[in-house]
Amino acid sequence: MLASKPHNVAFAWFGVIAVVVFSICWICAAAIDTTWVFGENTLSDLGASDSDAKMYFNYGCCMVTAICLAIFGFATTTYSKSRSASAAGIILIIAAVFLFLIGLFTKDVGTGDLHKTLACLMGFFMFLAVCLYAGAFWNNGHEAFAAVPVIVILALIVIFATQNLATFEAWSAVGAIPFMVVATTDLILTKPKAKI
Amino acid sequence: MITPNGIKTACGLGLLGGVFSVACLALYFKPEDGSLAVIAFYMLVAVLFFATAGAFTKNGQWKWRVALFVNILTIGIIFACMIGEFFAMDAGAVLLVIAIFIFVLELLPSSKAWMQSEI
Repeated sequence: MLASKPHNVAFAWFGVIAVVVFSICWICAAAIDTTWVFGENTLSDLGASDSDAKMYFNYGCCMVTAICLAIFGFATTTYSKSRSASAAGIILIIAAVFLFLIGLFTKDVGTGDLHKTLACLMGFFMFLAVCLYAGAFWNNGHEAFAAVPVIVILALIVIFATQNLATFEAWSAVGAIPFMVVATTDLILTKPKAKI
Repeated sequence: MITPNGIKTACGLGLLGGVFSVACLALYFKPEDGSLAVIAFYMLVAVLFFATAGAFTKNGQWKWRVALFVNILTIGIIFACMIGEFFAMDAGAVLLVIAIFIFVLELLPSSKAWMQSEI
Protein backbone atom coordinates (compact mmCIF):
# COMPACT_ATOMS: atom_id res chain seq x y z
CA MET A 1 0.00 0.00 0.00
CA LEU A 2 1.34 3.39 -0.94
CA ALA A 3 1.09 6.09 1.73
CA SER A 4 0.42 9.60 0.43
CA LYS A 5 3.41 11.86 1.00
CA PRO A 6 3.06 15.55 1.85
CA HIS A 7 4.70 17.91 -0.61
CA ASN A 8 5.18 20.97 1.57
CA VAL A 9 8.93 21.06 0.84
CA ALA A 10 8.34 20.98 -2.92
CA PHE A 11 5.70 23.71 -2.74
CA ALA A 12 7.91 25.79 -0.43
CA TRP A 13 10.48 26.18 -3.20
CA PHE A 14 8.00 28.35 -5.08
CA GLY A 15 8.87 31.06 -2.54
CA VAL A 16 12.53 30.93 -3.56
CA ILE A 17 11.58 30.79 -7.25
CA ALA A 18 9.48 33.95 -6.76
CA VAL A 19 12.45 35.75 -5.16
CA VAL A 20 14.90 34.63 -7.84
CA VAL A 21 12.59 35.50 -10.75
CA PHE A 22 11.75 38.89 -9.24
CA SER A 23 15.39 39.77 -8.52
CA ILE A 24 16.71 38.71 -11.95
CA CYS A 25 13.91 40.46 -13.85
CA TRP A 26 14.30 43.64 -11.79
CA ILE A 27 18.07 43.71 -12.41
CA CYS A 28 17.56 43.04 -16.15
CA ALA A 29 14.85 45.71 -16.43
CA ALA A 30 16.98 48.29 -14.59
CA ALA A 31 19.99 47.39 -16.76
CA ILE A 32 18.01 47.84 -20.00
CA ASP A 33 16.30 51.08 -19.00
CA THR A 34 19.32 53.14 -17.95
CA THR A 35 17.13 56.17 -17.20
CA TRP A 36 15.61 54.33 -14.24
CA VAL A 37 17.33 55.28 -10.96
CA PHE A 38 16.92 53.46 -7.62
CA GLY A 39 15.21 55.78 -5.16
CA GLU A 40 14.32 58.39 -7.77
CA ASN A 41 11.95 56.47 -10.06
CA THR A 42 9.14 54.23 -8.87
CA LEU A 43 9.04 50.55 -9.82
CA SER A 44 5.94 51.30 -11.87
CA ASP A 45 8.09 53.46 -14.18
CA LEU A 46 9.82 50.28 -15.34
CA GLY A 47 6.43 48.83 -16.32
CA ALA A 48 5.69 51.86 -18.49
CA SER A 49 9.18 52.10 -20.00
CA ASP A 50 9.72 52.72 -23.73
CA SER A 51 12.34 49.96 -23.84
CA ASP A 52 12.08 46.17 -23.40
CA ALA A 53 12.41 46.74 -19.64
CA LYS A 54 8.63 46.79 -19.43
CA MET A 55 8.48 43.17 -20.66
CA TYR A 56 10.82 42.04 -17.89
CA PHE A 57 8.97 44.04 -15.27
CA ASN A 58 5.38 43.28 -16.24
CA TYR A 59 5.83 39.60 -17.09
CA GLY A 60 8.72 38.71 -14.76
CA CYS A 61 8.49 40.94 -11.70
CA CYS A 62 4.70 41.03 -11.64
CA MET A 63 2.97 38.12 -13.36
CA VAL A 64 5.36 35.16 -12.90
CA THR A 65 6.26 36.29 -9.38
CA ALA A 66 2.56 36.65 -8.54
CA ILE A 67 1.81 33.11 -9.71
CA CYS A 68 4.70 31.71 -7.63
CA LEU A 69 3.57 33.71 -4.58
CA ALA A 70 -0.01 32.49 -4.99
CA ILE A 71 1.17 28.86 -5.07
CA PHE A 72 3.35 29.52 -2.03
CA GLY A 73 0.39 31.11 -0.19
CA PHE A 74 -1.77 28.12 -1.08
CA ALA A 75 0.89 25.76 0.30
CA THR A 76 1.12 27.75 3.55
CA THR A 77 -2.65 27.64 3.98
CA THR A 78 -2.82 23.93 3.18
CA TYR A 79 0.09 22.59 5.19
CA SER A 80 0.44 24.86 8.24
CA LYS A 81 -1.20 23.85 11.47
CA SER A 82 -1.73 27.30 12.99
CA ARG A 83 -4.64 29.53 12.05
CA SER A 84 -2.42 32.60 11.75
CA ALA A 85 -0.33 30.84 9.10
CA SER A 86 -3.47 29.81 7.21
CA ALA A 87 -4.72 33.40 7.31
CA ALA A 88 -1.30 34.66 6.19
CA GLY A 89 -1.37 32.30 3.21
CA ILE A 90 -4.83 33.49 2.14
CA ILE A 91 -3.84 37.15 2.44
CA LEU A 92 -0.67 36.43 0.44
CA ILE A 93 -2.80 34.92 -2.34
CA ILE A 94 -4.95 38.08 -2.41
CA ALA A 95 -1.79 40.23 -2.58
CA ALA A 96 -0.49 38.02 -5.41
CA VAL A 97 -3.72 38.58 -7.39
CA PHE A 98 -3.24 42.35 -7.13
CA LEU A 99 0.44 41.99 -8.10
CA PHE A 100 -0.62 40.07 -11.21
CA LEU A 101 -3.12 42.82 -12.07
CA ILE A 102 -0.40 45.48 -11.63
CA GLY A 103 1.52 43.78 -14.44
CA LEU A 104 -1.60 43.75 -16.56
CA PHE A 105 -2.77 47.33 -15.95
CA THR A 106 0.43 49.34 -16.12
CA LYS A 107 0.99 53.00 -15.30
CA ASP A 108 0.37 54.08 -18.90
CA VAL A 109 -3.07 52.38 -19.13
CA GLY A 110 -5.74 55.09 -19.01
CA THR A 111 -5.08 57.82 -16.49
CA GLY A 112 -2.99 55.49 -14.33
CA ASP A 113 -5.46 55.70 -11.45
CA LEU A 114 -6.34 52.01 -11.74
CA HIS A 115 -2.65 51.10 -11.51
CA LYS A 116 -2.21 53.30 -8.44
CA THR A 117 -5.24 51.74 -6.74
CA LEU A 118 -4.03 48.22 -7.47
CA ALA A 119 -0.54 49.07 -6.20
CA CYS A 120 -1.96 50.47 -2.95
CA LEU A 121 -4.15 47.40 -2.46
CA MET A 122 -1.23 45.08 -3.17
CA GLY A 123 0.96 46.98 -0.69
CA PHE A 124 -1.75 46.86 1.99
CA PHE A 125 -2.38 43.13 1.66
CA MET A 126 1.34 42.35 1.43
CA PHE A 127 1.95 44.35 4.62
CA LEU A 128 -0.88 42.43 6.31
CA ALA A 129 0.56 39.13 5.09
CA VAL A 130 4.02 39.97 6.47
CA CYS A 131 2.51 40.86 9.87
CA LEU A 132 0.51 37.61 9.93
CA TYR A 133 3.54 35.57 8.87
CA ALA A 134 5.52 37.10 11.76
CA GLY A 135 2.79 35.91 14.15
CA ALA A 136 2.72 32.52 12.45
CA PHE A 137 6.50 32.04 12.83
CA TRP A 138 6.17 32.91 16.50
CA ASN A 139 3.26 30.49 17.04
CA ASN A 140 5.02 27.69 15.14
CA GLY A 141 7.92 27.81 17.60
CA HIS A 142 10.28 29.45 15.10
CA GLU A 143 10.78 32.58 17.18
CA ALA A 144 14.11 33.49 15.57
CA PHE A 145 12.46 33.64 12.13
CA ALA A 146 10.01 36.27 13.40
CA ALA A 147 12.95 38.65 13.75
CA VAL A 148 13.18 39.15 9.98
CA PRO A 149 9.60 40.39 9.32
CA VAL A 150 9.64 42.53 12.49
CA ILE A 151 12.93 44.22 11.50
CA VAL A 152 11.72 44.68 7.90
CA ILE A 153 8.44 46.24 9.07
CA LEU A 154 10.18 48.64 11.49
CA ALA A 155 12.73 49.67 8.85
CA LEU A 156 10.01 50.26 6.25
CA ILE A 157 7.96 52.37 8.68
CA VAL A 158 10.97 54.65 9.19
CA ILE A 159 11.69 54.80 5.44
CA PHE A 160 8.03 55.62 4.75
CA ALA A 161 8.17 58.44 7.31
CA THR A 162 11.50 59.93 6.24
CA GLN A 163 12.05 59.20 2.53
CA ASN A 164 10.11 59.71 -0.71
CA LEU A 165 7.67 57.18 -2.22
CA ALA A 166 10.13 55.87 -4.82
CA THR A 167 12.70 55.01 -2.15
CA PHE A 168 10.06 53.41 0.05
CA GLU A 169 8.72 51.31 -2.83
CA ALA A 170 12.18 50.09 -3.86
CA TRP A 171 13.22 49.24 -0.29
CA SER A 172 9.91 47.44 0.26
CA ALA A 173 10.76 45.17 -2.66
CA VAL A 174 14.25 44.61 -1.26
CA GLY A 175 12.82 43.88 2.21
CA ALA A 176 10.44 41.29 0.76
CA ILE A 177 13.39 39.16 -0.40
CA PRO A 178 14.77 38.09 3.03
CA PHE A 179 11.21 37.77 4.28
CA MET A 180 10.31 35.29 1.51
CA VAL A 181 13.50 33.28 2.14
CA VAL A 182 12.58 32.96 5.83
CA ALA A 183 8.94 32.11 4.99
CA THR A 184 10.18 29.37 2.67
CA THR A 185 12.46 27.95 5.37
CA ASP A 186 9.56 28.00 7.84
CA LEU A 187 7.33 26.08 5.45
CA ILE A 188 10.09 23.54 4.79
CA LEU A 189 10.53 22.97 8.53
CA THR A 190 6.76 22.79 9.18
CA LYS A 191 5.40 19.36 10.02
CA PRO A 192 2.42 19.36 7.66
CA LYS A 193 -1.16 18.72 8.68
CA ALA A 194 -2.36 17.86 5.16
CA LYS A 195 -1.26 14.85 3.12
CA ILE A 196 -1.59 16.03 -0.44
CA MET B 1 20.32 25.62 38.37
CA ILE B 2 23.75 27.09 37.54
CA THR B 3 23.56 30.29 35.51
CA PRO B 4 24.97 29.57 32.03
CA ASN B 5 27.85 31.65 30.74
CA GLY B 6 25.67 32.75 27.81
CA ILE B 7 23.21 34.38 30.19
CA LYS B 8 25.97 36.17 32.10
CA THR B 9 27.49 37.43 28.84
CA ALA B 10 24.11 38.55 27.50
CA CYS B 11 23.43 40.45 30.73
CA GLY B 12 26.82 42.17 30.48
CA LEU B 13 26.26 43.02 26.83
CA GLY B 14 22.82 44.43 27.64
CA LEU B 15 24.33 46.76 30.22
CA LEU B 16 27.15 47.69 27.85
CA GLY B 17 24.65 48.45 25.07
CA GLY B 18 22.62 50.68 27.38
CA VAL B 19 25.65 52.61 28.58
CA PHE B 20 27.01 52.92 25.04
CA SER B 21 23.68 54.21 23.76
CA VAL B 22 23.55 56.93 26.42
CA ALA B 23 27.18 57.79 25.67
CA CYS B 24 26.32 58.08 21.96
CA LEU B 25 23.47 60.40 22.88
CA ALA B 26 25.97 62.71 24.59
CA LEU B 27 28.63 62.39 21.87
CA TYR B 28 26.39 62.90 18.85
CA PHE B 29 24.05 65.51 20.32
CA LYS B 30 23.78 68.66 18.21
CA PRO B 31 21.50 71.49 19.33
CA GLU B 32 19.50 71.94 16.12
CA ASP B 33 16.01 71.25 14.71
CA GLY B 34 15.07 67.60 14.73
CA SER B 35 17.50 66.69 17.49
CA LEU B 36 14.61 65.61 19.71
CA ALA B 37 13.98 62.55 17.54
CA VAL B 38 17.67 61.57 17.76
CA ILE B 39 17.67 61.97 21.56
CA ALA B 40 14.43 60.00 21.86
CA PHE B 41 15.67 57.08 19.75
CA TYR B 42 19.02 56.82 21.59
CA MET B 43 17.14 56.90 24.92
CA LEU B 44 14.64 54.30 23.68
CA VAL B 45 17.42 51.93 22.65
CA ALA B 46 19.21 52.49 25.99
CA VAL B 47 16.02 51.66 27.90
CA LEU B 48 15.46 48.53 25.81
CA PHE B 49 19.06 47.39 26.40
CA PHE B 50 18.82 47.91 30.16
CA ALA B 51 15.46 46.13 30.26
CA THR B 52 16.93 43.23 28.28
CA ALA B 53 19.84 43.04 30.72
CA GLY B 54 17.36 42.87 33.57
CA ALA B 55 15.69 39.86 32.02
CA PHE B 56 18.94 37.90 32.30
CA THR B 57 19.07 38.03 36.09
CA LYS B 58 17.70 35.55 38.61
CA ASN B 59 13.93 35.99 38.95
CA GLY B 60 13.99 38.26 35.90
CA GLN B 61 10.84 40.06 34.87
CA TRP B 62 10.20 38.28 31.58
CA LYS B 63 9.79 34.83 30.17
CA TRP B 64 12.19 33.73 27.43
CA ARG B 65 9.81 34.53 24.56
CA VAL B 66 9.08 38.05 25.82
CA ALA B 67 12.79 38.77 26.29
CA LEU B 68 13.45 37.49 22.78
CA PHE B 69 10.68 39.66 21.35
CA VAL B 70 12.04 42.77 23.10
CA ASN B 71 15.49 41.95 21.71
CA ILE B 72 14.06 41.61 18.19
CA LEU B 73 12.38 45.00 18.67
CA THR B 74 15.70 46.50 19.77
CA ILE B 75 17.45 45.18 16.64
CA GLY B 76 14.61 46.47 14.45
CA ILE B 77 14.64 49.93 16.00
CA ILE B 78 18.44 50.25 15.72
CA PHE B 79 18.35 49.10 12.09
CA ALA B 80 15.45 51.44 11.28
CA CYS B 81 17.22 54.38 12.95
CA MET B 82 20.35 53.68 10.90
CA ILE B 83 18.35 53.63 7.67
CA GLY B 84 16.44 56.76 8.71
CA GLU B 85 19.80 58.43 9.50
CA PHE B 86 18.78 59.19 13.09
CA PHE B 87 21.86 57.30 14.32
CA ALA B 88 25.43 57.85 13.20
CA MET B 89 26.45 54.83 11.11
CA ASP B 90 29.43 53.81 13.27
CA ALA B 91 27.48 54.13 16.53
CA GLY B 92 24.49 52.30 15.02
CA ALA B 93 26.73 49.49 13.77
CA VAL B 94 28.22 48.95 17.25
CA LEU B 95 24.76 48.95 18.87
CA LEU B 96 23.47 46.56 16.19
CA VAL B 97 26.35 44.13 16.75
CA ILE B 98 25.74 44.15 20.52
CA ALA B 99 22.01 43.51 20.00
CA ILE B 100 22.68 40.67 17.54
CA PHE B 101 25.14 39.04 19.97
CA ILE B 102 22.49 39.16 22.71
CA PHE B 103 19.97 37.66 20.26
CA VAL B 104 22.30 34.77 19.42
CA LEU B 105 23.14 34.14 23.10
CA GLU B 106 19.45 34.15 23.92
CA LEU B 107 18.76 31.46 21.32
CA LEU B 108 21.23 29.03 22.93
CA PRO B 109 19.41 25.98 24.34
CA SER B 110 21.05 26.45 27.75
CA SER B 111 19.87 30.08 27.92
CA LYS B 112 16.33 29.10 26.95
CA ALA B 113 16.21 26.31 29.54
CA TRP B 114 17.57 28.59 32.28
CA MET B 115 15.14 31.44 31.58
CA GLN B 116 12.16 29.13 31.41
CA SER B 117 13.11 27.38 34.64
CA GLU B 118 13.49 30.66 36.50
CA ILE B 119 9.81 31.62 36.24
